Amino acid sequence: MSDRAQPGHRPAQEADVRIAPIAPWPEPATTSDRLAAPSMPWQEPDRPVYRIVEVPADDRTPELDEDERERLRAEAELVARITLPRRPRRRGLQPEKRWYHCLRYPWLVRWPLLRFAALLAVATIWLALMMPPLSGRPSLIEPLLYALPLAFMALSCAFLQEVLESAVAGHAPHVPLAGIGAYGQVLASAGRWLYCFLAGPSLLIGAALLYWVHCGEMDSLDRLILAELGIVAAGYWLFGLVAVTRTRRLLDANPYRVAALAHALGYRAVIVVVALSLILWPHADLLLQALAHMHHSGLGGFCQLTLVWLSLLACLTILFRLIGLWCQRMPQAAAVLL
Amino acid sequence: MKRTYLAAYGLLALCLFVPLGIRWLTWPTPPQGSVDPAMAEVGRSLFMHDWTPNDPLCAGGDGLGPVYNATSCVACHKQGGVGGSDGLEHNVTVFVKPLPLQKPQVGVVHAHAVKFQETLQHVDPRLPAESQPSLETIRNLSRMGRQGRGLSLVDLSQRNTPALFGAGLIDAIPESTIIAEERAQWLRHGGAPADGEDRPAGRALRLADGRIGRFGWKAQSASLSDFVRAACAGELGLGNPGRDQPAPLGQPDHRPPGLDLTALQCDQMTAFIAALPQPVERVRADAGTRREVREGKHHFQAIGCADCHVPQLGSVAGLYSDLLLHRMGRELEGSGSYNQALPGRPDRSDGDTLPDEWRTPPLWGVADSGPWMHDGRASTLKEAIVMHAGQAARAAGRFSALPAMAQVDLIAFLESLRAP
Repeated sequence: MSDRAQPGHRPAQEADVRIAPIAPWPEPATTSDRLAAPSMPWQEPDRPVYRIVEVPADDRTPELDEDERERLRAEAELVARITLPRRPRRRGLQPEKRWYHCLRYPWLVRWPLLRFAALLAVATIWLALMMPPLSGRPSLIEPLLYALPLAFMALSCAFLQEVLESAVAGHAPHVPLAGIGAYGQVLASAGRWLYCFLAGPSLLIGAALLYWVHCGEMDSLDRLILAELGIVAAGYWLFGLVAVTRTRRLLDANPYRVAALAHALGYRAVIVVVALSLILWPHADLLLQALAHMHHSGLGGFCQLTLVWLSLLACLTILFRLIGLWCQRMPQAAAVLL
Repeated sequence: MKRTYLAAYGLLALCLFVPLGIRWLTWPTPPQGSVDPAMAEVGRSLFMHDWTPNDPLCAGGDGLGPVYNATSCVACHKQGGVGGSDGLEHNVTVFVKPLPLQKPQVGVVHAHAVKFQETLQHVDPRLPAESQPSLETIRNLSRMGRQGRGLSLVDLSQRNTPALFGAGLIDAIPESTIIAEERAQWLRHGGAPADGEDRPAGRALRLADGRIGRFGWKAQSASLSDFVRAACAGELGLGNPGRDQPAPLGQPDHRPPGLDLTALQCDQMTAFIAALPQPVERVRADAGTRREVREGKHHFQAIGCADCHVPQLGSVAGLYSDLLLHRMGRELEGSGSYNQALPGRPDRSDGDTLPDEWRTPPLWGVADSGPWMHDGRASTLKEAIVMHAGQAARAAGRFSALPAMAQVDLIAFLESLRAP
């Protein structure tokens, strides 16, 4: 054989051994098989990529003598031991296989979470101190003063959006880097969040606020009504975000698609909405307490606000990761998102 | 499976819409009460009546006293017309005396008595023996006490007679409207707590029985009827079904033979007060005055006075009050009110208020209700504005920073708010 056998390359006709690639893994039949199968060959370091195939006698080249044939066999055995280089196995980069694997995600993104929590605390304090306009008359500078806290909120929205998008796409958990320099992506994410809020939840939240202001002393029925309005608004907002995540079409955040997505998720939709409510209500209460504390003690209030935002963002990243993976892995939900 | 989904969605819809439906059906409608003219006429005669000890109009009681501040309602409520306010001569002296391991004693040092004349010394032997201390005396004693130079720990303050015009309209405001204003202020001021002093976020006073207070300097009375009964007992010594007459400070065991007023008499007096007309905005016809008032109204809104002195509350226009408690700063502290619980009776004490918390007084008719502030310490409207502190400090500061002409305009606007 004049040239060295290359991986996958059919050797010359005169060789009496061939190196053939091993057949790939069979296609998994079920979802659990798919999740159990390794993603890439290098994740099974001891599995050879190639095998030696003995050429049948009638295919052998007759001109080769015994020494030449032995040399070719030794070369073939050497080549057969070739495996693709092994990449170091990195922990935490595999897509989650169980729902509770999502709980470790906030630890992975702890530093961005802390940064965004501090930014949101500053934004909250800024907005609270800006209300009402001190001058009593609208001025040109006030929109600029509102722009900074809104920019901080937009960055946080972009971060959460990327968490959701990576989960819907089935990517392994990683630290989202968008929002630091990708200003276009930040604006797009913030616009998407704002649109999904205005597309339905804004009416519900506005109705809830009006009801709360005018209902007088609240009894249990009033609290139940407010809780229902809040839960429906939060659930609609979340499913609307998921609906527009893959297609990037804002019109997908309509009640039909949102309802179809919730129906496709089945009982998981109930779990998500209940979990979202259990996350939002106590955090809203803690935020208000921290805001009141801020009026008494600036630094203490800031620290309290940062902690509350950190906790809220951590819980939301878990929830977004979970719902994204569910949407990616459930065929009915994935069909709705297409 | 399809039936399961349908059942689940049906249950979800039920859970969502049934509470809303129940609330819609049970939404409270504001009462459509009107005053009975006959009741109001009798009430007027009671309001004008000069009460005496063993008065024939008092069926089972001892009549006027044993301790009282005036002999008739109109003796104090007369400025600008029957039902108006009064000057400093009829200020009511209120005290709060801390007691060891007990709730503080709250009461009034009455100016007059049938037999057992009260003085400040009955409250604390270290105080002077005055039964009608002047405002200056009370303020000096209070100032010395705060500075630690006083001999007594008793908190003394006075209350100026408020005008009663438009009280019926205030009584008709639903509680939900007052609470709505409280919540709107909380939202408007970025979630600022009501016990803070940096933002004018007021709070509705929730009394011990759950009702919202709206009458009195400390919003200690939830309804006009309660307010009238407390005043009859506290000012005239006329015990009634809603309020017992106070015992003299030197005779705590004094018990009256019976009630002086019946429930019907109290209702008649309440009907008369509820029928009092609403104050008006009266502007002279000349263009200069009109411009001044218009500009003054604009400044009133712009500098933040309208944050608390809300022009309209619910359906009552021109009230210029949110009926909420606001903190007004240390210099304007003053604890106490009528509602002292008698020993042995159920505790009818009002909700807790801080010493510097005051209900926003309605500004309608303010031009005819001087002197101003809770004890009448401000002899001019400008002085009253400048005295605002605590949550109102920013607005007062902005008033002081206004040009002189703008201040004149604002005062002109306030002077257009006249008694009927």
